[in-house]
Amino acid sequence: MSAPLSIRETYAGKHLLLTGATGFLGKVWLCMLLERVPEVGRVYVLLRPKALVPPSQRFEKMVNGSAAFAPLHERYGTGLSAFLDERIKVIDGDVSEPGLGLTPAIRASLEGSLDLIVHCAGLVDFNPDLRKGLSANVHGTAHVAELASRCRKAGLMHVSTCYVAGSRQGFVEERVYPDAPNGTIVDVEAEIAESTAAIVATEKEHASDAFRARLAEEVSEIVHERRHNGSSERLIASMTQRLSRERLKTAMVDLGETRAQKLGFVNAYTYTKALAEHLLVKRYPKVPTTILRPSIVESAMSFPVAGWNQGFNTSAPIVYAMGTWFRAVPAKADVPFDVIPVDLLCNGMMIAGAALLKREHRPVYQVATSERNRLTVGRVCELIDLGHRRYYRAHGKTTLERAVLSRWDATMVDAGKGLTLDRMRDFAADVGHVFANAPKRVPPRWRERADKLSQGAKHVSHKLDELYRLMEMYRPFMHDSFTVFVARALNTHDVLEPEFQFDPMCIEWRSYWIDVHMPGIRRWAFPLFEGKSPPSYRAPHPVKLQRDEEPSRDVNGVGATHDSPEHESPKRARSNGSVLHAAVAAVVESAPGEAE
Amino acid sequence: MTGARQSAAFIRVEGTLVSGGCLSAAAYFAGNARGMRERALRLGQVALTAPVYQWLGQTDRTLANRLAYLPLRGMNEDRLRELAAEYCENILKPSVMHGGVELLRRARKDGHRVVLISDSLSLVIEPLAEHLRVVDDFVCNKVELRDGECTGRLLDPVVGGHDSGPWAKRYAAEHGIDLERSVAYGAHGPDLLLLSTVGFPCVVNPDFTLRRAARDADWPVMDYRV
Repeated sequence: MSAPLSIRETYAGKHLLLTGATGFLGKVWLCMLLERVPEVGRVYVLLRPKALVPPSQRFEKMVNGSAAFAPLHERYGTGLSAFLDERIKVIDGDVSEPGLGLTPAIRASLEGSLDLIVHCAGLVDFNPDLRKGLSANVHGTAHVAELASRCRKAGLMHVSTCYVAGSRQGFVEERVYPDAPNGTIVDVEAEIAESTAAIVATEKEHASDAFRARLAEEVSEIVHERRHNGSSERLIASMTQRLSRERLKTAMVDLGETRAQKLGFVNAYTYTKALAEHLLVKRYPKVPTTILRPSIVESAMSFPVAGWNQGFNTSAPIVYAMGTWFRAVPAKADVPFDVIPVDLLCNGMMIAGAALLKREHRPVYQVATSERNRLTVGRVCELIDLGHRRYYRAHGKTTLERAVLSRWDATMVDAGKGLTLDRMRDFAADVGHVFANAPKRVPPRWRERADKLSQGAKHVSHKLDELYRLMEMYRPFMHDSFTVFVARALNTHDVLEPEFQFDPMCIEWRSYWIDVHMPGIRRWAFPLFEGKSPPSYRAPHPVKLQRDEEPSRDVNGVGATHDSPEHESPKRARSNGSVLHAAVAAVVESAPGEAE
Repeated sequence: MTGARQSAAFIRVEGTLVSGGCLSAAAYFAGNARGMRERALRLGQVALTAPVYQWLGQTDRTLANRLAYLPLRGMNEDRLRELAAEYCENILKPSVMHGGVELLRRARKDGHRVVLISDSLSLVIEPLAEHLRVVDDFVCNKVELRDGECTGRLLDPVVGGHDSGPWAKRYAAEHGIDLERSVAYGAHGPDLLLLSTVGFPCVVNPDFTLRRAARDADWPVMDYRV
């Protein structure tokens, strides 16, 4: 163990750059830093540009409208604006652009003054469009590392995910493995080049005349089937264009999955995150870097507020699905489900950052619980059932909910065995199909009934398909792997301040899950699945920063990173037409171990 | 030990303080196990225990208690704790008899150390004791939990057997209790030896065996149902 590490003393007077500040993790870490280490120097917060809204205004909106900053409001009250004016400098930039899209003046100023760069920004979709995934997670990290390499003294803390382990089984150590999960040695530059070439080829194929002609033919058939009259040419052209965009997007998502699976990663998110790690190791060996890998980031235990989380979180969709009549979860009881509360993760980030500032850091820190305080999938399912039981018994709207749904426990089933979701879905679809084509000799009254039955069966099939997709997203984490993440490096530092200790043993899973986490997601995430807005936070004394007129952004760039608002718009959930659809969409846009 | 020793009030929970027995707790756990099939199986096992309870309950409840909690074997600790809290809140607390609460208050007012004795599980009695506020200590059965699962085995010593007399003496020695000045309230046959150990025994809502014994020993008998 190295010499005692004082977090406060180490951060005092240091200048930091934070990317991904609007994300779940970024917000909590920023608040923790400002609340617990007010002696910190200047914190540069990189925010993605938005037309007509200056970055400082966006920052104000975030601080005034998010419960994540409640501790700061409580502590500083009316003095918060002055405090933030002293400590925070909001800059307009985008990690997916070279030089982060900053003006040369700002860049030069950062290069001279920064001590630490905390890179939380990234695209957290499980299966993103590969172009976006590469741009945000791989090239974005490269751009941030490039800035770090130009800095006089800055170290780089890159937030990755434990799940870069992919399909690797057993104990995963705190190091960057030279090989991919399937054993192939990773040549990161060649892999990026291949992926980029595949993207170009796919784009080219989708832009070809033959492809467009095929699409137009397909569209005209649809138009003809639906018997649209009148300006069919314009209609065909516009529909073809839309369909072409959709097909290209789907092709890019498929391409991401294919490239990921080729190397043994479970999805394109973990694939791009792993490439970013390899890129840092290979391209920027001289930059003082530490990689911080959280596992599945969940609600806060106590900071900023017990149960606080943001938007569609990782376990929220599955918890939501298990609170419905759905029962069969494809899962294996003994599989570790590695969850880390966001405030404990932030403690880990504070330690890793301080170690990096003192150049006593380890190359990789895993912030996980499965090694020392293991939570298994079986226990999670039990806790989810018990959490729902408690809720429905007390707050069930109908007798059915209070008496039956509260006792309607989910069961774990082996994927692919028995009456699985996909088989039920296919059966319902078949029923729908059979009744839709009733013979003409059947009396009209019976035909009507058959039509209704067919529609009902199709509806059920659609719902089952949504659930199936949701479960398939979680399958690698709940069924297919037995992975334990070693998390020892953080404890090699003897941290002086008790509030920054990283101790996975301090989590009592039952009370955390039932008393803190589930009420938290019920409050902050479930409304989004139901097309409602979560409760909004109103700052007691709204922050007003002094406007800085100097532009920080090089206006030639085009933004590409994913922006994660406080809570995704309920409009999106509504537009999808169903609660479960929203849940599936949520999973598509969330992933284990990441913030923004 | 210097100075005057403390006196205690040993109060049997079942029959004195609450109207239900420990079998209802076992049935509640079994009936709320995970999944319908498991519930039916476990409830069936508890139902089989009921006659044994009736036959042996008048004399020694050790075997009956062991059998009553055996159906909990394999149940998850998380579920047991949650169900115990539910059972205490929804079933046990509403069934607390005013007469029993009065006894507790009087014992505390008289300066006794209030000790609850129960055949039920500590998971259930602990929140009840907290709720009653005037309880200094409680002695009850503990089920073995291993790796987050219940083995269905009761840990020794099992409360409800014939060793309540020697147990009371050991307890008094450990805690500096003067048994001659202590009181005990019992309701069932197996409480006989406990009652005969203390200076001031009292029988509350007794079963057949204990009523007869109380009459023979000329112990006071209290009857209340609420």
